[in-house]
Amino acid sequence: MIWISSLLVFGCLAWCVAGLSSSGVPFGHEQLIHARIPWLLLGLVWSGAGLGLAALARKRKLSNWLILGLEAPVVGFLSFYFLQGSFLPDHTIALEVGQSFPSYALLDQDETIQGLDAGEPREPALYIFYRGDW
Amino acid sequence: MDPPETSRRLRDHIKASFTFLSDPDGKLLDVLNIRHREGREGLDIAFPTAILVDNAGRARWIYQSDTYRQRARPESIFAAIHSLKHPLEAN
Repeated sequence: MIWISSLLVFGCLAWCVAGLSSSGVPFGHEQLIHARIPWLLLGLVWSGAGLGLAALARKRKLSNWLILGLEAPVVGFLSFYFLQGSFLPDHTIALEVGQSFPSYALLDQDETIQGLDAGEPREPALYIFYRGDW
Repeated sequence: MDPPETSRRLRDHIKASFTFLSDPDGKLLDVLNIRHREGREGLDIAFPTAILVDNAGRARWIYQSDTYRQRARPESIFAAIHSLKHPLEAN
């Protein structure tokens, strides 16, 4: 049973690594986090973990502990990696391409007010909202 | 959301020529719904967002991300700027 368990867990890990390297998408890229949660893969990983635990419950021998110890970080990492997007609050931006950028009047770094009304003609500009302070 | 003096320090440090706007109360963030509450060490920050606005004040390209670890990639930004030459297609 422990061998089926490790086959499932490490097989899924290999599947992810192979999928990532063939897709050409950088690891941790937003496309992966925004992607739909791969429930089939997670289901297989969690089944593998369940089988491993069951095997350990039946026979508390060293090899079972070792294999489960190796599986645990893989299961934890894959679960976190594919579910992290679902823990974030909803933040769909209230602006669509083609809509007017909202009016604003804000201080710049020299404490001068910079403001524009929505739809007011201007030089094209790129607004970058960053986390600040570093 | 930094105050102007923090932005000034950052601008001088990286020798930037562009303008840093301060939105300490997050007013513009709320209008755009991009405030990340307690996003970093208990403080509110912005979800990383980039918006390219044309000379009529319309958004022409929008990038959004979930965490401050991810930002718009330069090649995407330059491609968007390049596409400003073409008129906005009617939706």
